[in-house]
Amino acid sequence: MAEQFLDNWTIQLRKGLLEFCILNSLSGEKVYGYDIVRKLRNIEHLVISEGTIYPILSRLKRDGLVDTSLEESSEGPARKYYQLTTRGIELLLQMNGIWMRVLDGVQQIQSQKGVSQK
Amino acid sequence: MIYLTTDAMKIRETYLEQVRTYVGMSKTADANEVIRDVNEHIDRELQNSSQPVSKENLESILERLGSPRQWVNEDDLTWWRKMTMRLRKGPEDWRLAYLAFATLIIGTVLMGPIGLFASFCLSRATLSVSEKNELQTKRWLVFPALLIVYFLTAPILLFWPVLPLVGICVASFDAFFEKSSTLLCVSVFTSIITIGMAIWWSFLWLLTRKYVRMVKVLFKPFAENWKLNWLGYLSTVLFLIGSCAIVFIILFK
Repeated sequence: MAEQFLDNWTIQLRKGLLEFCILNSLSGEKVYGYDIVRKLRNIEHLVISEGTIYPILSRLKRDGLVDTSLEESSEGPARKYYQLTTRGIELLLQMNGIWMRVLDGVQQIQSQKGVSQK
Repeated sequence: MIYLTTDAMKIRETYLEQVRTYVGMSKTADANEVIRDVNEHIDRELQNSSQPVSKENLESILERLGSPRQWVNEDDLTWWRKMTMRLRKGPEDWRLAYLAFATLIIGTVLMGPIGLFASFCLSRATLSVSEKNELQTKRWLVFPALLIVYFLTAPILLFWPVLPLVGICVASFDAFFEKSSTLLCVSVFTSIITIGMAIWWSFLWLLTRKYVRMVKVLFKPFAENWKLNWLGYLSTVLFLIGSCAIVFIILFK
């Protein structure tokens, strides 16, 4: 029962954080799609299926938060690069603000209760 | 250029077909774009592999990519995909609701009243497994069959005595008409029908006062807020009309 609860909770947490992490990984630069996957796969518990990132990128593009461009590569065919649009940058600022406030609140609760970080 | 063995190529093609199928169900993601990205991802992962790439090497990459079936949330599906998935996998309350509606349309055309009855049963089953607050979104699927059956049965239940009462009036018409004026005949027939209906509605009112839950269950979910007393008021009104007719008969006979 506890294990199922933990699984469900982890799934919900992942759903909310994955888009946030994708947008943050695009902050300030153009990033090759494959490199986004490589960055995020190293975050424990965040990515179960690497392929989930691509439909999210497609959705973010459709929502006008990211844009794509093709650039020639010496290593093979042209590569698709992703970058934040102006709207995406504004939204990411807001999301980061909310995230910091939530994180502060959670850390306060944890320190009040003496919860171990490990 | 990445070279794959024949087996590996087949596996890759099958995988990309799955991507097309499942991502194609999404309202928001572009399947072609995702396929291009996935192809690129696979090529990058295989860049440093020995060639031709074996089935096992490819499978380990596809395993990390994960099953495309899990890439799209149910919320992101088109409405008809959501309906198909719910029909195949549930949850049970949605599956029943879709079946109820489909049975109403198709069943009624093909089988008439039997189809309507089947749809009614499925709608009632949906009500049983649904939470009250979840009904709002399913009502367009579930309510039509319920409303049709209730609109057919409720009037029958309320007004069936009219037929035998009219029969009594018709049977006694000849006897009255020859001996009395038209106005008196009308008064007699009015009193018979109104008093008869008033008795029946009073009986129903008393019965439903005792068995309120029965009414709410029989006419679920529309009888949730059903007020007990309107039948009583109506029967009182009919009694009054019938009494006036009797008084008229007595005075003017």
